[in-house]
Amino acid sequence: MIDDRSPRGGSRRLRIVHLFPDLLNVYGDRGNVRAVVVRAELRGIVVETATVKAGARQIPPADLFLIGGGQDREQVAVARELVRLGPAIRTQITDGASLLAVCGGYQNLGSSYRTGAGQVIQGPGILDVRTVAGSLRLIGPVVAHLARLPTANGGNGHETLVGFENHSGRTYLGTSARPLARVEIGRGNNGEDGGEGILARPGEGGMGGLRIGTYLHGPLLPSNPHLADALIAAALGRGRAPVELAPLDDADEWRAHDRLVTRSREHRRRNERLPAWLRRVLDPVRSLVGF
Amino acid sequence: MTHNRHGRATLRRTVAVLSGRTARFVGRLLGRGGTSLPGLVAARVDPTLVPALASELGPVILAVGTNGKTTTARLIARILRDVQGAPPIANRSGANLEQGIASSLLSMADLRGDLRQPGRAAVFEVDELALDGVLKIVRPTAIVATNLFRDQLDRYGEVDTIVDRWSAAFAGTATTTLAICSDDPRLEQLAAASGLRTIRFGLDPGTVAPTSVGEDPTAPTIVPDDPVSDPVSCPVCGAALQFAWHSIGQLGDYACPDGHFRRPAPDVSVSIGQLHPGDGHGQRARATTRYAFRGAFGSAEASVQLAGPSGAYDAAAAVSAAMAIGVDPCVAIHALEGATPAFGRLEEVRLHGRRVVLALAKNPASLTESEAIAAAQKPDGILLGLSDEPADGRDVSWIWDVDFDALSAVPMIGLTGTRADDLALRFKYSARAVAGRWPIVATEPHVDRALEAMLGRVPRGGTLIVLATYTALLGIRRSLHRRGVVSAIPT
Repeated sequence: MIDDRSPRGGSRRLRIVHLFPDLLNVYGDRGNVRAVVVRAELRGIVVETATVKAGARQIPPADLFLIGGGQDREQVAVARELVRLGPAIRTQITDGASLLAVCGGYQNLGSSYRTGAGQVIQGPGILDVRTVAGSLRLIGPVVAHLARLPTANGGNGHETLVGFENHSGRTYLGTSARPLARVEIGRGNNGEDGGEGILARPGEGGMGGLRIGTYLHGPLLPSNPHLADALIAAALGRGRAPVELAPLDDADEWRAHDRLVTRSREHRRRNERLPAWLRRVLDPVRSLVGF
Repeated sequence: MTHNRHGRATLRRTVAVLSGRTARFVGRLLGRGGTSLPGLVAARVDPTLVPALASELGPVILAVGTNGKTTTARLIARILRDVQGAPPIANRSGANLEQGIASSLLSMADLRGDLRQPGRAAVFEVDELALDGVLKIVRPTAIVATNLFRDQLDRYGEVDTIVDRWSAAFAGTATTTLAICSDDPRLEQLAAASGLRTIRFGLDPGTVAPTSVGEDPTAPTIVPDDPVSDPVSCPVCGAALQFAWHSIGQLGDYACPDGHFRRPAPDVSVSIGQLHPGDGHGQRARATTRYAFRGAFGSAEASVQLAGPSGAYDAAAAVSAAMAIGVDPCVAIHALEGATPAFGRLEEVRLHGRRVVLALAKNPASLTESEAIAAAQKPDGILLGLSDEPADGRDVSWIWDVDFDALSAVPMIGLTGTRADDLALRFKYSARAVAGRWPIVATEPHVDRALEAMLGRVPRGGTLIVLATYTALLGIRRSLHRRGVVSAIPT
């Protein structure tokens, strides 16, 4: 067997598999792929990307799976694909591959999804969540705080996450599962318990890889570089200790991140002063006048 | 007591008209907006006034769709002006919700609550989400649907929501003729399900010969993995549609792999001829494209101040809409000769000896196409504006579904708008980013300062192209006005 491990115990090759980009691609989620690829390549890591599209026969070997969000109709198609391909993905993650699942993909990789009509679609249960269709969409900017660090050494000092949510599903975590973050602004998993996403660290739930599920797009990783690095480090570590990554100049990323935090907080303050009906009337006027 | 044409007592109607006019006056005093207020106020006084006014109209055409409805409505108005000898009643661009249309009808009412010129034609552009509301006040002779792209997902959730709402709205319009883009599978699905008489327009496949990117950026290109395309599946079996070619986003020649559903042959087929770049002087100041139309009517050509496939689609949409209300297509095409663009659609101004071209870029499809058109003009600089006010769409993730490769030859790029930082990341993480080759000279959220920075770098006689979302573009136009630019289009 060829030894491609670095002295630090991690692989210097990162294999990314983007799941169903042909079905789930509505919210700029390919930005997550770009962020991982560029941040790995800047550190001299050789990146191989592959895509799994509808009708694929098998899942190529991966260190990191990425799956995005899409429309309800496409999610049904993904659920159908996962009946065939879900077990293979699950096996790889058990063996140490990591996962980022956003929005529709987050719902699809959970244990079940109950549609508005009451039909229950089973998922592969790679993430310990179940989702129930809601009537109102939860839409808007999100500022959340990481509940705990994704990996033992990840975080880079920032503990906020920024993104945009747009979902009608209400997602509930399994009894032993923990959320990724707690929302300060926005609705999060279900608009009830304040949790956003799910974080399962390597080894938790009997699976070797880091698993993150979230409703945050924007896309998530370019403006949350700490999370991007946590995923790269865990993916390279293959379930053992995350690989230490050389620091990058992230001034642009944090400027975008911080401005979004500030902007979302300002926007909320502005809104909280007004009754809801007045907000609905004023929003279009405001946007034209620009205040 | 006097009675109006409908024989109803007029006092209430008169009060309604007067209050509408007062609202318009107050709105104008306040300087901005105010286009929907008159309709709202008048409806409060007499809710039957606006539907009554609408019933006195001649042929009514509604223009709907994600991109191109303003330009299409403008082109239809030009055709109707030629045919009828008077311009049709129309709503102002942007005032495309129910109340905006009510307001434009009110402005045409006399004090008895009758239309001053009954029987006049009308062309209204209608917001995607307002169509069902508008159909409650106006009974259109024709609805022209340009396309359905992903746009402002934060407003309506997903594209399928629009399809469902339109499908329900079409069910109540038995006498309406549809004019739709045959290249948009979602529209074709809607039209087929509606059972309404339908006239179709589409691109001539001859135009869509394989061209490599950069050779002629205004020609549509075949991109198998076009990031702008939304996944579209067969309405019968759910299989992913297969495309022989794409023009913009998911528009193209599609077919279900199992043969359930395919692009029908269009009634009006348009091909894109020569593009003449503008020289900045008089009649030929702006870029003009020669479009050729073919159909059962024969063939005819017109030169229009539009560019690219979107210009071709808009022109063909206008011709089809005119056909839908019984206008001879050759007459309609003739009327298009020399037509000019609408607000924010390749609008040109001059400032201190520099040419500034403004274009609205509000979603992946419109930005991708605007980039190609912009690059073809070989500008000295491009200023991209991205803001996230409600009118722009709060969610800006769509910029990641746009490839910026078309801008690779542009010598300098500026970024502005409330989300300029996100644009900066988009470039930083693009395929060229690792080499750091994008000539980003300014990342400045403040539009005025960004414009200043870019203008300072463009030489005299040079060109600056601005591609921006709605409120960013409005801010840039105001900034240009403050610098002394006089434009025919009011801010």
